[in-house]
Amino acid sequence: MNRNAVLTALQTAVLDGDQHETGRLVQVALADGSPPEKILSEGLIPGMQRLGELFKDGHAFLPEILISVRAMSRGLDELRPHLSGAATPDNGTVVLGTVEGDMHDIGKRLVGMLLEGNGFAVVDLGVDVSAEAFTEAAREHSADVVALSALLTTTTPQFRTVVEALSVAGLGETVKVMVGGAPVTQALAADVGADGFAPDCVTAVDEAARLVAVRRGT
Amino acid sequence: MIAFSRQRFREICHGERLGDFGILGNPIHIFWPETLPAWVGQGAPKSFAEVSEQDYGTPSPVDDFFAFDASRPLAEVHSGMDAGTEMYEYVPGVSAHNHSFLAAPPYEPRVIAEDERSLTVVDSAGITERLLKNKAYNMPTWLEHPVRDRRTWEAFKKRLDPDTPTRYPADWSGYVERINALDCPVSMEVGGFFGYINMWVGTEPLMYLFYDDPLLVEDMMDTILHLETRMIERVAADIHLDWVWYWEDMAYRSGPMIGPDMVRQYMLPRYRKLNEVVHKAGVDVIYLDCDGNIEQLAPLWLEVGINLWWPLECASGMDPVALRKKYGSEVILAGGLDKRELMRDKASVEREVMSKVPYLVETGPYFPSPDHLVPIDMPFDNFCHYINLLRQIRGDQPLDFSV
Repeated sequence: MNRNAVLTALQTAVLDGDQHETGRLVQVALADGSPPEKILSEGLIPGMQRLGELFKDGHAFLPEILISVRAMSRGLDELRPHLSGAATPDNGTVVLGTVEGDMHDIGKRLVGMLLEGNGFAVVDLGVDVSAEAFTEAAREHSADVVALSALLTTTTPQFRTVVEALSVAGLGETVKVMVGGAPVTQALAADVGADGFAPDCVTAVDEAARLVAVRRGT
Repeated sequence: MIAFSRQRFREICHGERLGDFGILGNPIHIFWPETLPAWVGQGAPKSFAEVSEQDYGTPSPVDDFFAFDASRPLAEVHSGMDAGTEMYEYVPGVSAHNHSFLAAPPYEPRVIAEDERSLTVVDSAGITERLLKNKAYNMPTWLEHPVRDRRTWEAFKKRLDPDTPTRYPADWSGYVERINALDCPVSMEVGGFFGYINMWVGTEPLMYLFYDDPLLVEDMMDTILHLETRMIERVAADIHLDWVWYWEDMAYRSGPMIGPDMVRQYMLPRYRKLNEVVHKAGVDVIYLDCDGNIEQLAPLWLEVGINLWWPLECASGMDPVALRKKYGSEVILAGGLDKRELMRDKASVEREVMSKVPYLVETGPYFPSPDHLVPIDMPFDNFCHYINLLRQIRGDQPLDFSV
């Protein structure tokens, strides 16, 4: 198999969620002398991007997302020791958590996994996270985006509390805030002063990328 | 006013009484456990503080106060979420829903760790979860589920025997006599092929399992099929059922967790088998409770005879009027009134109710309710106003809700 064929096969392995084949093909590509950056940008990431398209078109669902993220993660584990610092994926840093008083975890975890699979650095603060903790983490990690999750209508008011806390801390102009969760809508996001909103975990990746681009002026 | 007889219920469900509808309690109007006690401070009767979810429909002070039409879930038959459990207070003032999700006997609920802010507990389904101590009622973070592999599944499976005596009231003949004497629609839970497994295994592990060990998923589904078949046959041999109730919760705001192909492969054959048993029992109203956006799932359910859908969550893009236009009167719709609008103010309540309910009841079978459980941030006055609007549409006298 030539180098390009290996990269194409790698895309398919990620898309199929075949973690063992993904790991094996990364090793093959490295042994063939493919640059690690190229394996990442032309093998692994296009596989994830194609999966995102299938999800948006209603042809892929959570099981397919999760096994592909697992395969991507396996590929990155193989690749990481060979990547130079400059080539490490740097699509942005996202501080992620479920707001104070809300213990819901699943949707937020899926968003985190997909962000990591798409080259974002993710700081997952867990559930029941205070506005102060979001603010401290955003400052400590120089976050591009703070992503807030809430399941309940009773906890969505915490979105505004976090937005205000970031503003008071002087981070309102530099850190972008995106929100999501079962009762959350674009209108609610605008109402609480968030910069972005995502209705699902795949769209959350696009929205985070958009906000990072806005923040970095790229 | 015509009493809400089982005949009237059936005629409504069959589209033979256009314009008529039921204002039913459980399992159509259901309240989060903290809602009813909170309403006591807003003018509701003091008895609301003591009502549990299993009470209403049996009947309870809530059914009486809102004049819900009589409807009788067989809460004492443990073929669904609860096997004699429900809310549990782990320490004074800290409670959580405590469904056993078909496990009988249920696990012994207990606290296994505690810190300043939270409790870590094991619930009646064997799920390890974290609860906040500063909240009277908790929606927990699930930490570990009881089924993690084939070994733990074999252990859990021992709690899924349909003939476990505690699944049925001890005085069965007396119970049968009491239920059959009622002239109101009687319902029974009949499990579900995704929702329960999701709780036993956990969402992420289950998603992997569909690819890593599909035979294990099939074994779990077949175990449910066996349990529910046996229980329906046993109950229906003595009790006149009018409707049955699946709980799935397999969708979120954008769509289903698993795709239609997977539903078709794993679930439809088992729905078909179970619904044959249901039909043989003379029941053709098959209710399915699934939150989130069900657009891609609904036609599949209809294919196997699941014809009553609740709660139709508006925040997930569900619109009962659009569903009626798409599916006609073949489908019995329930819910679909945007709780966010019902919570806002009385004018919003009127807009939401009047823009949907008259159309829906004139064009087919519909049971109105908010688009999920009634939350604590629903003002009591708004809910009373909502009930009286429904009564007005039905031509009933308004109720006086002053206590």
